Amino acid sequence: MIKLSNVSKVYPNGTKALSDVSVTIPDGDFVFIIGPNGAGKTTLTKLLLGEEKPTTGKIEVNGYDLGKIKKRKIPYFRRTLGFVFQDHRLFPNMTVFDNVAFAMHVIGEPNKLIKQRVWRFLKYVNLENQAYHYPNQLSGGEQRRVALARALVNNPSIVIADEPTSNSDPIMSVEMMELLKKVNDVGKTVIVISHDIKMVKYYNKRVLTLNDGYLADDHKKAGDEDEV
Amino acid sequence: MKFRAPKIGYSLKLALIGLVKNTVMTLSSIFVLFACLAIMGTFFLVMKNINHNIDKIDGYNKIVIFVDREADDYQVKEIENKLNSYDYVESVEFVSKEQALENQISQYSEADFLRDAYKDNNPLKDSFYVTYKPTANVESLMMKIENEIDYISKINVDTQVVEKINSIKNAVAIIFSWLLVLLLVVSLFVIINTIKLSVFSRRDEIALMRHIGATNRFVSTPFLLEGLAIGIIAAIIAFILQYFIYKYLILGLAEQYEILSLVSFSSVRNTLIAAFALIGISTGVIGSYISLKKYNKEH
Repeated sequence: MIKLSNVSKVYPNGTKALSDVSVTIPDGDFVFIIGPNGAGKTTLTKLLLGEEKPTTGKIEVNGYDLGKIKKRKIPYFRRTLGFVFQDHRLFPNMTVFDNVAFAMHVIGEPNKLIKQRVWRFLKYVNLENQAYHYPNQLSGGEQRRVALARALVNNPSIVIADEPTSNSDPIMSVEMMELLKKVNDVGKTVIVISHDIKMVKYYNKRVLTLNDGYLADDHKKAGDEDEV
Repeated sequence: MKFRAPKIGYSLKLALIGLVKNTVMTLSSIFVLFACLAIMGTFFLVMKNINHNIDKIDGYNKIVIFVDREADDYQVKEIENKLNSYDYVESVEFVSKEQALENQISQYSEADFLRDAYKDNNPLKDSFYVTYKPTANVESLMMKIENEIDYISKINVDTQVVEKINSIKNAVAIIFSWLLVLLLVVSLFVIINTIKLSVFSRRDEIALMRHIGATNRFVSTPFLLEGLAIGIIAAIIAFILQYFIYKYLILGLAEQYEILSLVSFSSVRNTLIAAFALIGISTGVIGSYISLKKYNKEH
């Protein structure tokens, strides 16, 4: 579960990035975070990843209090999350298989298990035929799916995807969103940071709108009783 | 979720990828460390040879002990045994008074008449030429002999020569030590900066590792292994080069032109291997550790 209580973030140079944000995302929820540039989406993501600490307020993610978390505990907290970067951030000198396996090597899993799980998730994202290709031999959409497989391979309870459909054609965007929906269907919390309003509307999920650092809107999906 | 320690095999693989990927930085680190080790090795060999030749100077590290005339053969033997039992004594040579007379006579031409003159009235005494180890303190050794051994009439030592030679040896040792420290600092500084550059050029990779949940240890181990590999490779190259230059060039020239007596390479081989391995590996690992510690603190 993710719980933000009156969270504000002011950077040392005085920039006020987030103001008094309170929101709860229960386990298994699917949430879009939208907002214009400078609205605070990046800061919120950094806070959720434990990259930054809130100036005031409290953030709890998967039982970790991120305002008080010790530096040495952060790696263990991050292993409970899966993050898909906007620019994929794959290792160019590693094959698709090795890129996905890397996430498991980081936590010291045995080779046998790594082999099993990596193949499972490459099949899941439909990339088993490209397992021994290098990232520069893949299309943008395929690279994004490798990044998703890497984010999922350690079985995190929360998956955060930053602009997963940017620079993609409509077919690829739908393909990616369907994969994320599939991830949500098995009970994982999925948070998608997006600019693509059409797609957000199409999927009819909960939408958090940030504007100028404030949580401007918390729009529950159609059919929910407490729709805002 | 279970947490396990990262496997060393995987860290080794990452270290190897890092070394190959950053070829220029790897080669420059190896070259600088190798150069420092080769210079250190050269100074070490120079110092060894200076000491070796100093030790050969006549009168140095020798004392002459004259025995009382009253001492009989048994007592003279006792003195010899006692001298041989001292730790700092390298060798003991007995010169009888008859032999001493012969030695004196042989130094002068037409002095054979002395042999008849002193046949029954030899004015010389039995003596021992004691060679002590270079590490011995000559004054305390003399004091020990005087206090513990009977029938000693006189002890001769050229303290001036000893003092002069000791001061030369000390000066060489001090200069060598400072050079060693200086070169160590230089190599450490270069390794720190090279690894720092290597860490900086791979900052995106490190940031990604951290996002995935890598601990500081997981991030650091490949870099430490890279430092270790750089140290080992530099030490091996430095040793091989030192071996060939010294054995085939320096010793060959010295033998051909009979310049100086030089120590054999085999007598310093083990010391050089140990020193190169120790300095190379520790500089590589400590250099990597310092730059990573700073990076981990900042990020």
